[in-house]
Amino acid sequence: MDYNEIETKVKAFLVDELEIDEAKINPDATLKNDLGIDSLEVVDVVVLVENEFGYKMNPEDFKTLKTFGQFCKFLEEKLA
Amino acid sequence: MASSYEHGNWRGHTDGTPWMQRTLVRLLRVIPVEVLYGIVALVIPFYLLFDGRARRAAWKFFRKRLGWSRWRSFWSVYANEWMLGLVVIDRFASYAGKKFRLQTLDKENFDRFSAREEGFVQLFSHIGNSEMAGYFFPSTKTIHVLVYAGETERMMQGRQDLFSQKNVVMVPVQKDMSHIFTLSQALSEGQIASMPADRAFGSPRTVSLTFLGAPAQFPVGPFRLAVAHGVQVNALFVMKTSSRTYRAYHQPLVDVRGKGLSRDAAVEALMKDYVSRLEEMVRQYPLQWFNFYDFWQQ
Repeated sequence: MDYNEIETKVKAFLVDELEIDEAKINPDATLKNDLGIDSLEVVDVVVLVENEFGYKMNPEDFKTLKTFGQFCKFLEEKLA
Repeated sequence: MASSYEHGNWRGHTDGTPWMQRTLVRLLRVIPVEVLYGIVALVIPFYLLFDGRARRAAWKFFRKRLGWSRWRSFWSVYANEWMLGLVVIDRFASYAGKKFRLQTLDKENFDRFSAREEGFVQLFSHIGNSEMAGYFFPSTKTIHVLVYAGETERMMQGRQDLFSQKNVVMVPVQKDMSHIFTLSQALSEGQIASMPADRAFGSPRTVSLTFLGAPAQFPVGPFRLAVAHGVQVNALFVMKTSSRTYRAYHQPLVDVRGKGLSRDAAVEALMKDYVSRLEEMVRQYPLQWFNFYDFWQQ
């Protein structure tokens, strides 16, 4: 799965399920401050990643991932 | 000996030094719990005298929330604190090997949930003695219980010793929120995630709901976790009915899955259902309400 495919899926989830304003979602948007993804939404994201991509994330993953772009890149690497 | 409660800056641990708690367990191996019940009854007035915060919170609960008379509230403040003492003694008595009877109501709900391949969320509140359920209910699934990490070694060891035989794993709250991942993982694996639903336990997100006639804050986390995983929620209440007997209530919350609700709407429906059940239980067992802080002014 390439970066664009992952980005499209994650973006659709954030907009449809977490009701995040699509205009705010760009590669440089920070997960916490710009997109408002805190500990509760992280659970949603973890479940999405597991269900959609079959990868189990852990707390350490989120320590290094600050932006939406980094998050999608991370998934691309893990799913390669 | 009582539990210390301080919402917001919550201490959330059982009072008494580790030495005192160890001594209590040793004592309970040789004397009946009823002896300690009597001793606690004598100590409570002094405890109330020096713990103005708990006293005021209990008074407000009986007077304003339940609308009881001054005289009835006065005695209920005492009885409420004494009841907490009994529950804590029972907990240590369990660590000491003492046996209690459990009457189960609607246990088929718990068994039905346990028999499914998917996991479920089990909620408890600070009323009665939910911890006792862990000693009684064998389950084919592992129960992962969220616990405050600041309890004394004696408390944690006592729980661990008893829980390890019952398929119960304790998950301490962590500052890095890794406990959420642990519970999430448990649900992914079809296990049970058990959490308190009356206090914001490790998460600042709350929703204000009417509880006993006034708005109070309830944590969103447990309900959100259930919705994220698409699993059902079971409310557990374990109430003390006599010196050696508890009654357990297993109440499945409304099933919000497959109804086309948004995440927020599903969470809200679950929360409202839980709060209404909690209110019903508190009205039935008012002396077993153990939130000794101003629950309605958070």
